[in-house]
Amino acid sequence: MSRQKFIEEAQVVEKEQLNPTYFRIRLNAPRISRHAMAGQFINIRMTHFYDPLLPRPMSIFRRNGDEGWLEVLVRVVGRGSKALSQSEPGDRFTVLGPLGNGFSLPKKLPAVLIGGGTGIAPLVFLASELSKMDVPSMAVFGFRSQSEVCCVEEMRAFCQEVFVATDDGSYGFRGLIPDFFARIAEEKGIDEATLYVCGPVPMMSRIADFSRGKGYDVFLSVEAHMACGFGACVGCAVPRADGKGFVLACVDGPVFNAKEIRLGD
Amino acid sequence: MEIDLSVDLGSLNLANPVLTASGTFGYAQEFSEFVNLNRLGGVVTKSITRYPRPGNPPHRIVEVSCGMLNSIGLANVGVDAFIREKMPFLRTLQCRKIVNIAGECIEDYVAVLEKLASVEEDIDAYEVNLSCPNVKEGGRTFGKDPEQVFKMTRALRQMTGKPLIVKLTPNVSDIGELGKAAEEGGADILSAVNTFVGLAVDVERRRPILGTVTGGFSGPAIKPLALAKVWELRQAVDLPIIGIGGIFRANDVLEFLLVGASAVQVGTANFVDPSISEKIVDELEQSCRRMGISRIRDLIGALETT
Repeated sequence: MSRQKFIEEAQVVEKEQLNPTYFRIRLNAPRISRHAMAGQFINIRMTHFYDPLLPRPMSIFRRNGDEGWLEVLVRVVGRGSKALSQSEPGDRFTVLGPLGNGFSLPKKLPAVLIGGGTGIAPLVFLASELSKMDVPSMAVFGFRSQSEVCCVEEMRAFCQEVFVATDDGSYGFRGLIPDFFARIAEEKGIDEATLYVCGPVPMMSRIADFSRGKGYDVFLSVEAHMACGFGACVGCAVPRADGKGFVLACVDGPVFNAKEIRLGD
Repeated sequence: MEIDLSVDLGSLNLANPVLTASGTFGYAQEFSEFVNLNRLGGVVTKSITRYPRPGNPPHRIVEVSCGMLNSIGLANVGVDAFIREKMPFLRTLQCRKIVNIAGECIEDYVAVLEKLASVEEDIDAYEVNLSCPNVKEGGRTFGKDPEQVFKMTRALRQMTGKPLIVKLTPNVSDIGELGKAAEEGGADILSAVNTFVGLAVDVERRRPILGTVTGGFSGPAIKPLALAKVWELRQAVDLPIIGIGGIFRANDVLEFLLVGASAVQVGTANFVDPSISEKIVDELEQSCRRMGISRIRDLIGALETT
């Protein structure tokens, strides 16, 4: 049942520093771009030397299948993301993808896209796809502070409403995303919705907890330490909610129904 | 010049010395869209156990300098599902099919081999993973105990006429002793090495990064360690050896052959580039041509130390 995957020598065609910590990198990878679905990821090999050794999984942030490019949203957290952030147009990376399962279409409306930090990346792709299909959506994005806020204008073009929070209150609502979303849900009387959530584990856990017993379908896009990205290393295990072993973030996910998995602490 | 890449490991003949390492190549099918599997010397499956194993809690993987640590915990579908779901694909391959087996006690291994007997005509060899951390017999790691290695090999030898490869752990002071024990027990081939024990620490949280504290260290960083172990083993036994440890390119293969391995397994490299095993076969031929070597087997054990 595996969908087709491609290995491409992808050239960096654009790099933009969006704010002090985020970079947008556009890669020319026509085959992957054409086949990508929102919620899928790519594995980017940083070097042909041995350090960093393993490819890095990155959500697909934007793509244009006709023009043959895709973009990733990078925040520097380690050696891999640093190497990516220091790349220049013309540099080449070996890219494998598209990997994993994307988001499924909402059964309950509206679609609510809830993202924290660079977790917004797959949601921006999703918003553009939902917009093309005229599916009503709203976005709730959170960042550490105003300096990190990005993609808000773009999301306004895709979604009916866009809400933004910052941890320090320097932009939009002051506070954490789960609290902010709970308030929005109450004020707007959202009884039914499909939530697409991507961000730090505590954020996703709290939203999943809050949603329990409500009329929400909740989909979480998770991150895990992984090596291969296609089910061979079996490294990216995520505990199943029923306690019966594990699912794999790479081939069973990275998008899971919140009922299926137990997020770590 | 016609280049002959074939090698013989006793009765196990390979079209070329490149095999894939257990645990890094799934059940082979995962790689079929990246590699023409029939161009490899053969494939080695993930460790198959008596019952399905869910594996260890996360994190199971962490990258370290030029390598990685894993604590997968032998996650696999179990021998019944392996025969039912994975053998049909393996059966279609023309390259050598080697099934790796593991367990927690001798009875486990015996049970796996008993079940596999029903599909043995499609299996070219067994590889016995003897590096399990916890076992019944006195709580010792039996892969480290020559006496246990001997007993295990002898028990399995009595059950099958297929080539029996015993995979050795490097986490001992004398790998030669383990090799001799396997040889006396009736092994046909030795493979060396399994992963080295390693540990990575998250300083901020003052915690080990892996859920199991320590894990298996693999990748280019271990190649010199593995070469030394193969060299040591070469002095101790007469059996053919399959070299494993940090192989990423043809030159690495040639290093292992020169120190005495007759074939190799490519492991961690499969995660970095899923098509690498076939590329190494291509490169090997070019390397031989460049070096003026018509038969790659002439390089086996040809290291000059004087």
